[in-house]
Amino acid sequence: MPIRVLLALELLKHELGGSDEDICHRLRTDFAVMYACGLREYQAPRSQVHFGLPETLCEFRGRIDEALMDELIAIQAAAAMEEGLVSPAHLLIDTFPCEPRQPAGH
Amino acid sequence: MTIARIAQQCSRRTTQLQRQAHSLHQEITKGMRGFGRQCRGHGHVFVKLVRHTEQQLLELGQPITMLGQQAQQLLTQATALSDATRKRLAEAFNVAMHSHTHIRKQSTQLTQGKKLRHCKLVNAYDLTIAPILKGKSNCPAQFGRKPEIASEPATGFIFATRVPEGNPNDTSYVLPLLDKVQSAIERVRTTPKLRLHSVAGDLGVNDAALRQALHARGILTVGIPQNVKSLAPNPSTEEVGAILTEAGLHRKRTPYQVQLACACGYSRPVVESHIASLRARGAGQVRYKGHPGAVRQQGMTVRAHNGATLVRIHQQQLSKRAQKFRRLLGLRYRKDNEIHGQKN
Repeated sequence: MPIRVLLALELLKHELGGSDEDICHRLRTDFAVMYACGLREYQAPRSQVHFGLPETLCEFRGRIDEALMDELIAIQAAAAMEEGLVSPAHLLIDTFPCEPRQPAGH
Repeated sequence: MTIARIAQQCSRRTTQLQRQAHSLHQEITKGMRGFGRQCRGHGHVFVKLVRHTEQQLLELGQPITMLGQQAQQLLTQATALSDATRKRLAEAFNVAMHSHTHIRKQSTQLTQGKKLRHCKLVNAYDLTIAPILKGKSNCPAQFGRKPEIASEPATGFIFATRVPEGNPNDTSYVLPLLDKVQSAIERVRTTPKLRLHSVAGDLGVNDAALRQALHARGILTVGIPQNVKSLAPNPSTEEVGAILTEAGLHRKRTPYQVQLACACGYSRPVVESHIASLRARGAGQVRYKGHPGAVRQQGMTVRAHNGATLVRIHQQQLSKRAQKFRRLLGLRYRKDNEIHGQKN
């Protein structure tokens, strides 16, 4: 599976708020997700199996480290600044708490 | 006759049960008073309880260090395993042993009654999780992480994010975060070169050394409050002059930039809406394991949020305040989303 599709799936997962399995399932059934992943042409397979496995997505995610993530955000910010859509002149900085997920039953 | 007798017996039993329940309830209330109030209080009894339990557990886990050394020796002697497997197992084993050492050290400190506010162990598998003591006054601390964001006040576009290990001081994160923004700015190839003019934050980042460091970089700090009073959104010419003199940025920053910085500082609470947007995308709960997992989740959430923000900018779905601020910053709306082809 191409890296751009995996990256798009990872991004869509956070935008749509689903699990790995959900997003991989939607890659097969949802044309909007396919379009967002850059799949413009599609031939319907006869089998019902995933063509993007949740395990693959998990493996891919495991290879993204802090430096790469910073670079991805910097690339996105630089592209937006280059287009003149945003300006870094005045910034707000803040923190927010986030808790670890509680195990089921707590 | 029989029914009347049964009813009498039942009512007698009910009264007895009610009395028992009442006395139990009173005992529970007494016990709870000993623990302090549910949300506040010192909770001395909890500490005693923890000390007793941990002593027993430490005694039980005494031979772990010795067993660990033996296991390590056996692992090096195991010839049936491949090099990669042996290396992987050794790494996992070392992590487990390190966690155990950390737990033992902390438990001993707790038993000796030393104060442990920061770096308190919360999760044996993730030592970077720490108590969040933000905005707490004598309340039980929340455990987790405290990601940092640097966002644009107009649209909420996030330029940089950082997930620190543990729970460091608020002032310590500002400069690393601004370094990340600077690295993003350096990637931009258009002219004139973009620059950081001002930074706004809350009282947590009010620090003289930090202000000095920001002024040295040519960044205004009027958006960082020095007390609980709200900032003036429209400072007078004299006030603007005083701000520039205090910062020593007379030649670097213009009065117009100071006025915009004051407006940003005044509307700083808008950052809460940016945080709410991240929370709506699941940033309020860390779902992946460890610090690297938190970094991945936070980064991807920020990228998703930024993507949605850029779509809103393209479609001009911005608040009036944001539109006005964009006009003041000289950011234009580009009609690149329209289709200019023939209709028929």
